[in-house]
Amino acid sequence: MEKALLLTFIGFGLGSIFGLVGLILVITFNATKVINLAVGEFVMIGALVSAILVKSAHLPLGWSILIIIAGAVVIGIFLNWFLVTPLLDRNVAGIMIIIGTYAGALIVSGSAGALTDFAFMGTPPILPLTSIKLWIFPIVPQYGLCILVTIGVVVAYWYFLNRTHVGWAFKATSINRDMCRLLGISTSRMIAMAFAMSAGIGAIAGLLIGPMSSVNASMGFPVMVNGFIASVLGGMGNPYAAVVGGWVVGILHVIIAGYFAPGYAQLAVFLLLIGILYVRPYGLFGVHED
Amino acid sequence: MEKKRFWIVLVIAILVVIIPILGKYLFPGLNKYILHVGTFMCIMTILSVGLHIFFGICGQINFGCNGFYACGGYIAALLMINLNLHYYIALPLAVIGTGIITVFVGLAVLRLRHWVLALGTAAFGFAVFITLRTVGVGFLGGDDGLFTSKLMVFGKKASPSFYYYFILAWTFISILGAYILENSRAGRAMKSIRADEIAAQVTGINIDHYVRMAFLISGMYAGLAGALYAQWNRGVSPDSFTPDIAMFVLVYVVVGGLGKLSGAIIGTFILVLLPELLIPLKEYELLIYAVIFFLVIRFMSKGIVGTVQDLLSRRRLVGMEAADQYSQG
Repeated sequence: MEKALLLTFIGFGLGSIFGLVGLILVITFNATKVINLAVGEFVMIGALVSAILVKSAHLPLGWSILIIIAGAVVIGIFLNWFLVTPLLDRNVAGIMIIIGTYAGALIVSGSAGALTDFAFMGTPPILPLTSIKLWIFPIVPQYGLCILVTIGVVVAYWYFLNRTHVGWAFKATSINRDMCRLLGISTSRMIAMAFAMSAGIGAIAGLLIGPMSSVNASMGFPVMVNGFIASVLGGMGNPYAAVVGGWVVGILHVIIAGYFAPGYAQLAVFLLLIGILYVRPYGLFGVHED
Repeated sequence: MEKKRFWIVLVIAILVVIIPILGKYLFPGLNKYILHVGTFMCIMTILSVGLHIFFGICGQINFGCNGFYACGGYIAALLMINLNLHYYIALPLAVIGTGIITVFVGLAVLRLRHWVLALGTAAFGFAVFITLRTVGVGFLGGDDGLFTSKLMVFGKKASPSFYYYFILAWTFISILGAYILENSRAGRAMKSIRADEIAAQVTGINIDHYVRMAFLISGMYAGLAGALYAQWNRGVSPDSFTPDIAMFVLVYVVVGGLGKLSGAIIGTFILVLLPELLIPLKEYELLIYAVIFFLVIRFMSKGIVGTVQDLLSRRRLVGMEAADQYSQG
């Protein structure tokens, strides 16, 4: 019983990270209708660079967190400025831009790999990784932090979308870009903001997930795949559903890995995905739009 | 124009056929290496032509062709090892077996469209890869994979150049098949689905039928590539069928020029050759590859073939304008 509770808790924590990755995929998807395959690399930057800065350069954790988020945001904005916006303006087929973001992901992980030799490193945990007992519930503080940060990010994002003027403009951009341009909204700035936000949140997710296992330069792709699954499970385009999808994926992952074998966990996630898409092709909370 | 294209194709075909002979005399030390890269390129070409049928002609996205590729390879290897079948019998059986698997996968994923279809097929590819690595340890050999025995040709061990010509012949057949399909009634129906699904439906095209057909053919192409790979490589292991392969093949098709058969072939040729040329750069190999690939997407967004065709037609237009001015005095 205690094992089940602990695994569920860890699943929630891991799923929160998948949910965050799904959320940032949805943020850029809504703004540009393009899936950004480079989101995993922001997570990788968050995990790997904090390992380098804190363990090797002996910087305080707070400063390195700020540096990492700023760096990821710069990379996100650069990716948008150099690749996505020019191609969107030229009406290039969406798949071409998506392949372009994949190339961007290869560049980021390739340069990180060339610098670190693809060596495995340990990211410093922000809170302890040992399990403690909270009344009858066993919890792990670092995973608890994942859950809390995710809920905080979702609430902040909801507030931004529904209670601020910029957020309304942002939401309008995702509905009809040409109309927004006519109304005087700078859509290119909104798209740049989407990339900046997704890069920043991705780096935070990396800082949180890094300590769970050793990290290296090629960790971004599997994280991106799980985040993608989370967002499609929830229903592509709905940021809150992506987080719920992430929880489903995370709990299934941890429970299968805990009771059977770690190798089966990812397989179970894919089978679940195929099964759910067969019953509900537009995801759990998705609506058919045509 | 049509005649010019015929001559270009003929010259390329002759070049490809005599490369091993040229290699023997020009680069005696490198001959085996050239044959190895050439054979691998042929297998990748079959894969990307198969993806071209589903993605380029029919307009549906498949991120999971490594799954079908693996099915072909493993079915061929299992038939040869467990049932002692000869390679020439195992090869068509593997293609048919992959086709049957494709039909069942298609029943599950072809209800989806666009991005959801991409992820559904990618999930299949990942699931096959993980199954090969962890689940089927006893029967499928786990991480080590399966080893096939030598292929005998006229009582001798098959040489690298035999494999090259054998696989090259299959590559020609598959390219020809894709060309015939593209210009047939079914191919035109698939192209209309790519252009606009609803309009195609209104004109009386059975969309589900043609999408399923394209999926089946593309899966069988991948199965053929896998079965050829299994014998050439003298065995199969999960490392040859990673989900990266599916991504690479997609990239070949898109970078070459989406929707064009020549694009799929030329993209495969260039992008398989490029890493081989970058090998001296060692640890920067992946990085340089990624940068080149990134710049191609950024500045040649119609793919290599599309951009070159645009350049050529622009020159022709400029020439026509000059002729107009000349005739007007």
